Amino acid sequence: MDGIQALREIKKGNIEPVYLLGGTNAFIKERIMEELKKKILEEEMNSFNLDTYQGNKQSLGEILSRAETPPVLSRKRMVIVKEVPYFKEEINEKDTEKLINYLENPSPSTCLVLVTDKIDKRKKTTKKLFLKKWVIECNPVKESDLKKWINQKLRQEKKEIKENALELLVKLVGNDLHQMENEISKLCTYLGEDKVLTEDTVRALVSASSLEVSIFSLVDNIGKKNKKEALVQLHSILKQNEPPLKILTMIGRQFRLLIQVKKHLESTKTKRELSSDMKLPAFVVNKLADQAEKFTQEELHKALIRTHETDIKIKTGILEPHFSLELLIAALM
Amino acid sequence: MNYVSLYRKWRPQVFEDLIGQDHITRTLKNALKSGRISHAYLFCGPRGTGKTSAAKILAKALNCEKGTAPQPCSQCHICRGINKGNIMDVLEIDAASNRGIDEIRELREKVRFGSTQARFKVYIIDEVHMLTPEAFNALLKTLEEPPEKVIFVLATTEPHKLPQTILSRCQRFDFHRIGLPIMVEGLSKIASQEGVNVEEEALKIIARSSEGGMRDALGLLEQVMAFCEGSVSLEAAKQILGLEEEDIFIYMGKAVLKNDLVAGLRLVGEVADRGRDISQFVRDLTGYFRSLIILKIQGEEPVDLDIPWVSLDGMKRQAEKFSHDGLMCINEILTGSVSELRGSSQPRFVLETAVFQICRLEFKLSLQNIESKIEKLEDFILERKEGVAYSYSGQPLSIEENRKDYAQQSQELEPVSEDTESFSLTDKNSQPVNTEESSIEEFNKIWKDFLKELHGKDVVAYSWLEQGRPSSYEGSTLTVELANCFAQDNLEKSKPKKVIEEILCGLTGKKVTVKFILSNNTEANGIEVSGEEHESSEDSSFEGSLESNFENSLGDSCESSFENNNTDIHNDEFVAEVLKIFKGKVVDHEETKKGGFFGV
Repeated sequence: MDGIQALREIKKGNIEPVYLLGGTNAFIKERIMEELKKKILEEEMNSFNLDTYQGNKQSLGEILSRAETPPVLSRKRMVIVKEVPYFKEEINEKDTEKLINYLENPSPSTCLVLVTDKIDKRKKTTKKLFLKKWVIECNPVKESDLKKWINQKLRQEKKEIKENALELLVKLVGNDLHQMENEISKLCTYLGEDKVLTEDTVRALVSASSLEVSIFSLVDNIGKKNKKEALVQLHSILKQNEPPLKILTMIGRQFRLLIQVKKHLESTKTKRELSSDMKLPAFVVNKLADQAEKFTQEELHKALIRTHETDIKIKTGILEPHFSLELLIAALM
Repeated sequence: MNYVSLYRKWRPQVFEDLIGQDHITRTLKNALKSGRISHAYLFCGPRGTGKTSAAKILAKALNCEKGTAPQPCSQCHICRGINKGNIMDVLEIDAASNRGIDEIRELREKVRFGSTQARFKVYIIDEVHMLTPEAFNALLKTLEEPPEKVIFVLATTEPHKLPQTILSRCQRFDFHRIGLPIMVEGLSKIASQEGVNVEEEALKIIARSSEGGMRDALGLLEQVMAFCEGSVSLEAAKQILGLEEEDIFIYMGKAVLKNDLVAGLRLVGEVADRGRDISQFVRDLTGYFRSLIILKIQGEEPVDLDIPWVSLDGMKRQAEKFSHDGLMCINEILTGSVSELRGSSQPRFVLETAVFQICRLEFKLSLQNIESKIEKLEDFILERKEGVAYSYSGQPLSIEENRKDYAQQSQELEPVSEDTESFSLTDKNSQPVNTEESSIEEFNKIWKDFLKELHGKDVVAYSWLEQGRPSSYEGSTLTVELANCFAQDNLEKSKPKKVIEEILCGLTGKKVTVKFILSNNTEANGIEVSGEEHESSEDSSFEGSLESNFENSLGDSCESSFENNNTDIHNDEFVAEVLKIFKGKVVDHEETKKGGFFGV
């Protein structure tokens, strides 16, 4: 079951006695726990019926005995175990047996929630959980889902977002729902009475989180032959203490890809074939194809050679890395 | 001690005072108005842009006795208490000195207790990037499940050092560098309230030296004010900020623009006299020209690029006057001399040479120009060959026509080569180069002598060139055909090339530039050394039927001193050599096709 599906089931009131939450999407995991708490517990009894453990610090026996304790003055109790080691690491026979026994026959009045990031699917215990459909895999959401989610969030706030602003937001923040939620709340606060979220607002308030994004947009700008923007990008990346040689490698890679794409397109291959040949996602190939049109084959070769020369110059100590990157960009276009 | 330094005296007390950060103040004010307070804020940005001030204003606005409002009163007990730092519920923690896990654990213990005096408990953690990884993890737990009425404000100059997990829990605000006009406005407001008259230009250079940090700017202003008393002039400001140093680079730029070698060398003398470290000076000079390149690219629009020079306006004007190629060329020369300086016992000499070169830039540029022209010419020759090849199939294209183009091309080239003469500083080569008289024949004649002499001087070059032969001579450029690209690569290096050119010059009495091209018959390389026309490698399918045409059209074009060796194998120089090496004799021979033994 994936996270969103599970959330829907829980909201409907179909609650299982045991859950194993896996995957890296912390946001969904938290949502599920919150929803479960809301459904199962009565708030004033929380201190009696809700237990939260760190799985790597508490012994299994203690946790299970807690799970088997009947609830106090309410219908159900909930035991949350975070950072559970049982499903990714080796554990001793005895513990495995205990766990399996409990899983065979879980206490009906308890909801045991086990939270981890990785799940080893070969383990006996995990197999059992999968069999009973108690595993919820919370993986990062797809881009299209992410956009839907953002739109939905904004609708709740009664705001609108322009298409290009949405693109930019997704590009800058990436696939971290926690951060996205923060950014959306910040943007909405900024808007105040205003209704429409524009690209400029997003640009002013949201900063790029991952370096990959900025490196990509740097080479993108080189591809578009936009020197000025490329230099601005370069500076902001260097400010983040990214090693210059890494940036140089990425620039070299971009030109190599451009040469490949250009060559392939000349041989009348479709972009789809290209994307499987070059093992790149389709949208990257599309972008590359657009950029490749702006260069001649010869220019690309020269650029690649120049990148290589810069590399040599840096490594032989003739040029200072930061400076040489600037020169490279100045000379490239 | 009742003197308070300017930046403390004028620390922003309300959001309006926080200049240059409109996107942040608007968001925070809206948040206070609507009560949408996030439990953790992350303020990041360069120093002196208002992070800590914003955090304090936020703490005041949240806890002001007059009620949570976008505008703290700054009068009430709590507001004043926060300003003084004696309200227990607003804690300012310096993470740089409390970076361990124990401090954070202690913090976690105390977080649970509610606030005593104020409405919200506000933790301002400054320089948060200094925390240890363990401390971050401990803090993360608190950020994940924050107690009610507790607000964290993390401030840092280096957000990339924070773990992603922390970043994703905070509402992040990036403080920008304060723009120049805004900062000048702010500074002049403060200066006038301090009762000091400061020239606008002086404010501008102060603002620029501070690189967008208000605290730095106020510090500098204070320094200048202390120096001048009463009113501050541009000159005084320059003196205090040590900007006279920069002027020397600007003068150097001017000298380069005017090709004023004397001025350039005088500047070098000045630098040396002042006892400055020359290699540092060269490095700074490189930096100066690098900034000019950036300014050139940037053009008119103000872009937030890092240019650590104060005299930006003057530089901008200078950058406009330079050409892009010129700047790139200057940089090449200067970076070259930077590496030359390492371990050089004559730094001044190296610097002077560099200045020499950059002040006579046209020379170098025109060389580049010639290079590109030669390249064009080369392309043209190759094209021409193709043109001939095509003419076999279509109507025959007369060589004469091609020649006309060729002549045109070489005429185009001529003025440039004269230019070169006029720029070259030595006179020894200035004897007129008569391109008409010198022909490829002459070089063929002296080729053997030349090889012999080369063998004496540079054996390596000789071995590479042994298999080459002169193919054409136009406009003082001798084109030599080589068997393979390794030879070409190796000979293109400046050292062997120079030797070759010197020898040729000695033998012919003319200034000769050598250019190496690849022989077209790469597959048959080495075999055709003795002089088959290189055109013979044309598409072999043409060959049989076009043979006669081929000979007619090209025979005279090359004025071939090379005899066509296919007809008589016994006279063939190459075969003779083979026989010599293997000590054999010719028993029988079959007519080989054009294109060489392996060529077809």
